Formats: sequence, structure tokens, C-alpha cells
Amino acid sequence: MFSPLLVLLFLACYISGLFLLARWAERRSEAGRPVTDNPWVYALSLATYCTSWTFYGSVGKAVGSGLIFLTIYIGPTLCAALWWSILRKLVRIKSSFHITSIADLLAARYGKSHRIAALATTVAFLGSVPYVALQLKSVISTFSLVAGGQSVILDFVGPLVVGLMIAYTILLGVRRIDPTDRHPGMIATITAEAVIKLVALVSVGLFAVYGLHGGLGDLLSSLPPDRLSAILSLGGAGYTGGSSYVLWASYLLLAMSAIIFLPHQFHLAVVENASEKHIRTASWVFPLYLLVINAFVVPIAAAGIAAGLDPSRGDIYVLGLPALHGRAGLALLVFLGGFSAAMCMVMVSSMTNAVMLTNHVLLPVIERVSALHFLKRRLLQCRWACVAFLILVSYWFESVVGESYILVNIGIIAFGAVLQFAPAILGGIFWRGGTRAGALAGLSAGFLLWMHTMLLPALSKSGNIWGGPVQNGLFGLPLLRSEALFGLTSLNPVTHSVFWTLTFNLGLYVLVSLLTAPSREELAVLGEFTGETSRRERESGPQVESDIDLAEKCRLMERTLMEYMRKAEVQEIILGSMRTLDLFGRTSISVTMLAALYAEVEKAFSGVVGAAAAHKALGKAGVFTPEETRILSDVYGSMLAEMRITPDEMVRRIDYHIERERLLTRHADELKETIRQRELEIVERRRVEEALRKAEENYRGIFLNAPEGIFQTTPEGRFAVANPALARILGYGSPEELMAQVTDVGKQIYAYPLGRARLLRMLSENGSVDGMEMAMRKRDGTLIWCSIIARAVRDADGNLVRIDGMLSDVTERKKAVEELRESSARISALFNATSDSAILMDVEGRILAINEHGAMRRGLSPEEMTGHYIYDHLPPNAAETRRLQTREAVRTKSPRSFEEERDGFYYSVTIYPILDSDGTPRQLASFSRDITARKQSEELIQRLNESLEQRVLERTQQLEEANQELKETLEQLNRTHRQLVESEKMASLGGLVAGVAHEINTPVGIGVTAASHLEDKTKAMLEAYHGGELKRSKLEEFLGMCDESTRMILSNLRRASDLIRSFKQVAVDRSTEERRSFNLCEYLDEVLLSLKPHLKKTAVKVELSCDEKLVIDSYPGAFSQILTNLVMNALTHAYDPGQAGIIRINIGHNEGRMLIVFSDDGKGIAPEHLDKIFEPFYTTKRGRGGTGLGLHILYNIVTQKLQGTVRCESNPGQGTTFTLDIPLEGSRAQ
Amino acid sequence: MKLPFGKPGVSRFIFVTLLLVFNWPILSIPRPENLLGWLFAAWGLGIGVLFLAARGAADADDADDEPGGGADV
Repeated sequence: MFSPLLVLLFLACYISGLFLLARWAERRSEAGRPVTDNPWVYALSLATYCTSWTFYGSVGKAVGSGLIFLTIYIGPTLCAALWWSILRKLVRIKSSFHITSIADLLAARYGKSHRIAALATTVAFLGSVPYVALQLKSVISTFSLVAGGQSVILDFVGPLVVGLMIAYTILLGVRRIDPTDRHPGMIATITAEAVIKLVALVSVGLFAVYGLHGGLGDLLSSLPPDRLSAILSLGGAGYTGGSSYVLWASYLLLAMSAIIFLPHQFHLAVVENASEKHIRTASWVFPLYLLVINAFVVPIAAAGIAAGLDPSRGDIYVLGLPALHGRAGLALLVFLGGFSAAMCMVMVSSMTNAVMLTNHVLLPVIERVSALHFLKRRLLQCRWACVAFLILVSYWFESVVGESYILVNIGIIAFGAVLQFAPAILGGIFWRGGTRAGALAGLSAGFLLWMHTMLLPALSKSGNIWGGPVQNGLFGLPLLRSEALFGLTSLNPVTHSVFWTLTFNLGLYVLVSLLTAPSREELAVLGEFTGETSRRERESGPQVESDIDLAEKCRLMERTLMEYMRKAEVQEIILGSMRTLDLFGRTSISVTMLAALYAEVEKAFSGVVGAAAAHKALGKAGVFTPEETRILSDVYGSMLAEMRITPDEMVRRIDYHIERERLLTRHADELKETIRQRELEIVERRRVEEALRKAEENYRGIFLNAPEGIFQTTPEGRFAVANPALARILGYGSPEELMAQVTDVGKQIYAYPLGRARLLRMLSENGSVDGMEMAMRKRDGTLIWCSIIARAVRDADGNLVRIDGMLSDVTERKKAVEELRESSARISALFNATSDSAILMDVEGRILAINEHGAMRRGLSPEEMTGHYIYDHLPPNAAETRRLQTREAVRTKSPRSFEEERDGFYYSVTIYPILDSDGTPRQLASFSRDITARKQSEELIQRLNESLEQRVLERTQQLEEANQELKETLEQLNRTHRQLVESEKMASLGGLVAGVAHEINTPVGIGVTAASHLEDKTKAMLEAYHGGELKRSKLEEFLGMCDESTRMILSNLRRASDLIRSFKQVAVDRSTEERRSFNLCEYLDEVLLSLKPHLKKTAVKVELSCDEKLVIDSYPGAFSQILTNLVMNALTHAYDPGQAGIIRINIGHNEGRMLIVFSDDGKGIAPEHLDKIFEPFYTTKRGRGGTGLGLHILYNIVTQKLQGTVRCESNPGQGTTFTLDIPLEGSRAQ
Repeated sequence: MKLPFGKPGVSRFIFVTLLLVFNWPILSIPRPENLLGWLFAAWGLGIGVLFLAARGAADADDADDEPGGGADV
């Protein structure tokens, strides 16, 4: 898959990365910010438990033994529930006794026994060897899998890996001699490795489930049912029924002990613990880690079987699956994960074993063998050797034993070994009865039995090493066979071993402990280990009388403590101490109990003021009387005697401790002084930094907010620094934009090419310029004037480095100065241009300024007159007048005007007082104008005016006469107009009469004809009657004719009568203009009837559309006149002779208004005539029947009499429409 | 109602409970085909309870730190 060299290269890179991480963590720790102070780091470091045994072996175990592998991880989960009780206690003991290893713990508990420490070290060492061997085996075998191929490197993989492990462990774990120090670098790397191995295993799991199969269901269904059942059962195919459950329980027990008592786990969980609070987080994070890392074990096992991998090599499935499917990257990740899992375990295990071996095995030997004393100063190198020794032995074990078992079985051997620690440790911290002899007996028995029942079978199975005891029994006794001890054959080998080792270990520990008494050393630490103060211990001290008044002593201590604390807090301390010592209810105590109380109070008080101060303060309290001190001394003397220590030894020890305390105190004082100095330095540095920061802020504020542009330019002409004001002055959006865009200041900024050259020349000559004004161009080309203050900055050789300077825009100022100059010139010109004499003088009349004319008038120049009194240049009478007027102007503070006559010339003089801010006249301005010519003109005008008035009167008379004539003419015109209008009306009335006559003519004519015919017939009848020729028939014929004629006559006369009546009404209305109620429709019908003679002459028809019931109260004559004029106008103008047409009259009314729409379909009115049709006398047919008054009359009637409006709309060829809008209020509809 | 996870002894109770739960397979509960699900479910719940217990212990510690706090852990 990969070449061995490439894999080695990957490994080298990976290890280098981890080493860098470790260095980083160590530096953080040295800086006081250790990464190990994080509970998650602590929890993940515990994941070292998941070694390559987990990484590769779990799958192998799952394939071979089903779900039994889960016990290895469920056990720690169970144990985690007790961590808050067990682990916290161990951590506290570690802190109290500076415990560095599990052997140290046992030694500390059991009387600082070297024997028990050495035994524990041996157990740990022998238990660790298989486990480390397991890691080496996994790395070596997986290296071969990943690298593959043929290479000479593969022959040296083992030594290479071993060398790598030794070097790495020494570098990170055993670099220093102090074993109590924690290892932040090592912890950081194993935390990172924990993450990597989790990611790697989960990645393979996901690949197996979703990469190779369509999910978990699909994966499991791809297996034969018997294989699936084997994987999902307890004990797999190898165990059934009860044996599998016993195995399950055994494994649980082994795992529960291993999570704490494996030397490397003990080191990580106890020795490396930074805070006991981290245990809380670890108690759920670590089980969660185990759950996640095991979640994919069964799927990977199933996928491996489904892929056809060898079921007897289940431990290679994790790597084999990606390798089999050509996933080289994933395979490499898996290899690195497995390597991480192995390496972190090897590193921690070999490090802690090296410490134990050095302290508890090697050092005692060195002490005893004088030839080895030189090694006392070579302890660090000894530890390195121990590291190498452990790893090399493990490598040997792997090469001898490893091939016989799959990985998971090797791990169980280690678990079985560390299980032997459980009785002695748990008994030691929870049971006060445990003794050193008991611990030694139990641990020895358990250890020997573990070797016999577990280690020897493993060695035997691997190559028949020491096979005799296994097969034939120890000493040839069948009862002592390794896997059937005392004939017990019903248990599997693991359970068998667990059962016998634990039985003997625990049994002997308890039994021997009960039979032996603890030593004084054990009793001394019992309280701290078990957490209980033995009443027997307290009572077994020297027998002294309990006659000391407890309350009195408490008061003494209370009085002293109250100098430092409140009463309630003091009482809390004293009562708490009494509670600890179980002194409640007692009134008197012994001197030893008083000493204990005193120590307890001092310990609690030292938490407030520090140990030294507490000791000193309580010492002054006078708690102990001289007699009590003597008794106490006697008691301790007897105790020393019992301890069998010589006084010299005691003095030596005390001196040692005193000297040590002195050194420590001095060292602490030095440290305090150093800290104080550092604090002072820090304060000073902060002050300086603050001052610098403020100064920088100030300068920055000045730089950013200064109205002047501040700049630094390079000799090449670029801006190196520019502030916002400079950018603004030069028309750029920001300093950055200015600096980016201006690459040559001389060309882009200076208005004239030689501007910058001039500046550089001046800087070269003077070193600086101040207020140099230069023309410059803004970005948009606008010319501005700038004032420059600049300084040349040069290096040591005198070369120009940069130019620092300020630039301000003086365009406005320059403009103002120019304007002021021009203004002064204009004022001066104006002052001198006038022909008046203008004088500025003080209140005394002294001339301050005089214009040229003023001086010239006197034959002098302005300079000659300035400074003299004005009065000196006037004739006496004029001077007096001028003086008076001047004084008056000053007094009244108002201008004085007067006229002066000098030498035949007249002058108009005005003197203006010039007031200051207080209103006091300070100066006077005198203007003297020569008015001689004006005087002469005024006289002339006076004469002309006199003649002009006469002429105006005459002309006014003429105008009045003309005006009167015009008025008369106008009246004449109005009269004529009214006459014409009246004539028009009369003409209209005449037309009406003509029409009426014509209309009446028909019925009258018919009547006359009928009457004539009747008369002729009557005459003929009379002649016939008189002639006697009258016959009946004739008579009857005559009578018939008479009847017909009379009816005809009568009907025609009636019609004539009706016509006359209606015409009469129309005529009356037209002439009288009276108001009355009338039916509008009927009335207009009558009007139309009167127009019938005119209509008959044409082919035009009139259609009237009107509400027949509409009765209004108005002027009927006006309506008659309107309709007549409209019809006659249409007949006259709208139609050519003989042209047919229709005139439509539509009358509607709504909301108090009446709308009369009169429209014809004639030829229309040209636009140029349309706006003139209502003007009087305007007609297009003058001389052909048109008067130009018809529509004018109509307009007046509608707008004035009826208070309405009329408008005309027409287009040539499309007829004309008149719309009359008349308010019914004026007509009052009914 | 406040859960009793900060009480003394709760961790031992959880230990005993989990010990029983994880040893029920010995009593053939549950059925073999459901064993994997049973174990992982119990495992997950166990972690949840451990989390609550850890938090309860932390709360109890905090209460101890406060003036007048009296929880006995």
C-alpha cells in the first residue's frame, strides 16, 4: 500500500507534530497557563485506557467472543460512578503524601514499607510487560500491513519501533528528575492522540457501515445468521450458557480494577490530576468516550466477516477493511490511530514503571551496595535505563509470546496482575484494620497465583515455556495445575484465575490484618488515608489528666483571633475545630487534647492569615501555662522515648527542619521581595504604558483632527505619512487614497513645475522653511495657495531621508488680503474721484485726511492740509459757521447740513459725526459740495415754473372740454347701441307678427272661402225659392252643405282664435319682459309655431325634446327671444339655401339647473369666428340679412337676465352646438 | 422539584444500579438478539445519570462555597 520509507516518513512527521504540541503545552505551563487545568483534557487523557488493544483487539474479541469485549469498557463506566468517592480520596492522599506511583501509595499506607513497595513495583512491572508487549506487537504488525511489499526496513521494524518508543518516552516523560512534577507536554500529546484514535476508529466504522454497505441493517443482513448470532451473543462460539455469564462478570471485575490500578492509569488519574473537580467531568466524559469508540466495533467485525477476512485474525479487521478496499488514506489514518493508541500507553506505562523501579527497587539496592553509590547522582539516567529495560523486555515478551494469542488475551493478563492491587489499596483507604503484614500476604499470594494461573499458561501456550506447572501441576501435583487449581475445572481460565487470585489475596489480606497490629507508622497516617480519626488512637496516647478548663482556653484563643476576624467567624473556626476533635459536651480536656485543639485552630486560622502569621498570633495568646507546657513536654518526651530516637537524632532532625524552614522563609522572603519588585515594575510599566498610550492618543488626536495638513514625504516625492486634513485640503477622500495616488508630489501637487524644486533648494540651504506660500493643485485641478512649514530630516551622512512638515490652505486668506488691497485702492480712488471736498477730522476740527479735490479747492495738496485745522483754511465768517456747526454735530451726535458762501461760490456742507462703540463722537466726516451751479439752476427753474403753471391751467381746461365731448359721444354710442338692440328686438317681434299673420291667414282664408261658398249657395237657394223651383232634394242638399260650411268656418275661426291668443301671449311676453309661471315646453312650441313661416321656406326641421310637465317661474319673453334668435341664426348661417337639416333642442334639468342644448347639423363655424360670435355687430353676412346682434342679445339675456352661462362649440362641417346653463333658482321650477 | 443528584451517596446508588443493569444478561434478560441494543441503551442512560450526578456534585460544592451553605458531600 505504502512503501516502508513513506510510512516511516509519515510517522516521523506525526511524532514531530506531537512533539511540537508537547513543547507548546510545556511553555504554556511554564507561563502559568497549563492546558492540563482543563477537565476535558483530564478526561481525554484517561482515554489512554483505550490502547491498541481497544483499537484493534476489540474487533478481534468481538469476532471470536461476541459482545464480551464490551465488559472491558462497561467496567470503567461502572467504576466511574464511584470515582467521586475513590478517585477523589486517592487524589487527596496524593496531595498529602506526594504520591508518585501506585507502589508509593501502598508504601505510604503501610508504614513506608520498602518491601511492599518493591512487591507492588514487581507486580506492576510484570503486569505492564504483557500490556506494553501488546502495544509493540500491534504497531509492528500493522506497520507491516500498511507498508507491505519487500524491503529491508521491514526486517528492522521491531527495533525501529522500540527505539522510537524509548526516545519518545524519555523526551516527554522522563526528561527531568522530579517525579512529583506533572507532565503537561505528555498530557497534551496523549489528549491529542485520544482524539486521533477516536476519529480513526469512527471513520472506519462509518466506512464499514455506509461505505461498504447501505446502512447497519444492510450490513448485518449480509452475514450468515450463525455468524451474526455469534457476534451478538455473550462469549461468541466459545462459551455458552452460564460460563459466558461468569466470564462476563469476571471481565467486568477486571476492567473495573484496571481503570484505576493499571500503573499508567493510576498515574494519569491520580498523579497528573490538577484539580479534584476534574474528576466530576471525567466521570461522564470518559464513559461517553468509551461508548463512542465502541459503537462501531460490532459493525466493523461484521463488515470484516462479510468482506471475507480471516475470522481468526479479527484484530486486523480495522486496518484490513480499508486496505482491502484500496482506501490508502483511511488505512494510513487507522495506522496512525493505532500507533497513537499504542504509543501513549507505552509512554505513560514505561515512565511510571521507571519511576517505581528506580525508587523502590534500584535505590534500596544502591543503598546497600556501596559499589553502586555513584548511581545516586545518576538517578535520571537510571530512569532512562528503566524505561529502555521495560520496553525491551516487553519486546522480548512480544516476540516470544505474542504470536500465540490474539491481542485481546494479552491484555487480560495485565488486567489480572493489577487486580491484585485492589484489596490492599481499597482496604488501605477504607478499612482501618488493614495492616502491612496483611497487605504483603494478600498481595504476595495474589501475585504468585496470578503468575501461576494466568502468566504461566500464556507462556506455556506460546511455546511451551514452563509448560510443566500448567499441564502437570506445580511440583507435579495435579491439584496445583495452573488452569485447574485445587481441581476446579468448571471455570474458564480467566475466571478461574480471577477467582483464585482474589480469594487468596483478599482472604489473606483480611485474615492477616486481623491477626496483626498496625505499626506506629501506619497508625500515624491512618487518619489521612481512611478519613477517620480513631477514638482509640486519640485515647491510646499518654495518660494525662483531663483537668484543663476547655471554655477558658477557647476564650483565650477567641480573644486573639478576634483581633483579625469578626466574632462569628472566630466562633465558627473554634467550634469547627471542636467538632473535628469530637469535643462537644466536654468541659475539661487533657493537655494533649488541648494541643490537638490548638493545632486544629491554628490550621484553620492559617487559611485566613497564612501559616506563619497564624502560628505567631496564637503563640501570643498564652493558651498554655508553664505547667501545661511542662506536662506537654513530658508527654512528648515519653512519646520520643517510645519512638526510640536519640536526643541527638531528634535535635538533628529539628535542626534540619528549622534550617529548612529558615531557608524556606528566606527563600519566600526573597520571592516576596522579587514579587514586590516585579509588581512595582509592573505598576511602573503600566503607568508608563498608560502615559504612552495617552500621549499616543493625544498625538493621534492632534494628527487626525488638526486643521492643518501634516505630512512626511520621501525624497522621491511620495507621501509616507499624511493626515486627513492634508487629504481634505488636496481634495482626496482619505489619506490612504492620497498616499496611493500621489506618486510624484512635484508633478501632481505643485501647481508650477519648479515649486517642489524651490522647496528642496530652500530646505537644502536652510534646513527648514517656515510659512512658504506655494500654489498647488487639488485633485480636481483647482488652484489653491498653501503655506508650508517643513523640515528636512537627514541621516548620519547628511542625506535627505524625508521631509516632515505641515501645510495649510491659505487661499481664502490670500484672497481676503488681495480683496482688502483692492478695496483700499477702490476707496482711495472713490475718495479722490469725487468733485466734493471730503474731509476726515477729529472733533477739534484737525484734518486727518482730505481728498485731492478738497485740497485743490484751496490750492493745496492733501499732505499740506493734513494735520492742520480746517478753520485755518476758511474765511473768518465761514470758519465761525463751520466751528459752530462742528460743535453742534458733536453735541447732538447727528449730522449737520448747511450752506456756505465763499468767494462768490456756494457750498453745501454736511458734517457727520463718527461715533465709537460707546456712542461718543471720535471723528467727523465733512462733505462739501459746490452748489453754485445748482443755485443758478434753481433760480432759472423758479422762473420757468411760474410760466409753466399758467400753461398747465390752460391745458387742463382744454382736456376737460375734450373729456366732456367724449362722454357725450359715448352716451350717444350707448343710446345708439340700445336702439339697435331694441330695433333688433322689434325686428324680431315684427317677424313674429308676420309669422302670426301668415299662420292665421290659412284658417281665416278657409273660413272666408267657406262663407263665400255658403253665400253663393244661399243666394241660389233664395232664387230657387223665390222662383218656386225649390225642391225638396235641393233643400236637403243645401242644408247639408250649410251644415258642412258652418262647421268648417267655425273650426277655422277657432283655430285662428287659438293662434291669436297664443301669439298674443308670445308678443306680450316679448315686449313686456314680465316674470310669470309657464309650461316651458308648451311655450317653446308656441314660439316655434311663430317661426313656422321662416322654417317653411327651408328644408330644415326642428325637434324639441323637453319635459312636458316642466313649469318654471321665469321670464318667458327671454326664452322666446333666445329660441327665436338661435333658430334664426341657424337658418341664416348654418344652411345654404335649400339645404336640408335638423335642429335639435334638448332641455334637461337637474339639481337646480336647467341645461338647454341647441344643436344643428349645418356647416359649423370657423375657429377664427368662434370666439367673436357673441360680440355686438359681428357678423359674416353683413348686408345679406345679418346684423351681428342676434347672438349678442342672446348672450346678454342668458348671462344678465337669467344669471346663466352660454358656450358655443363648433367645428367646420360638423354643425354647431350652443349649451345654455341656466339656474332654476332664477327661473324657479315648479 | 430539585433532583437529588447532589445528595451524598447518590454515586454509590448509581453504581449499584448500573451494576445490576449490566449484569442482567446473567439472568437472561433481555433476549440474546436484543442484547446489543440493551447494553448500549443502558450504557447511554448510565452516562446521562453520571452527568447529572456530576452536575449535582458541582452544585453542592457551589452551595458549600456560599455563606451558610451546608450540603454535605
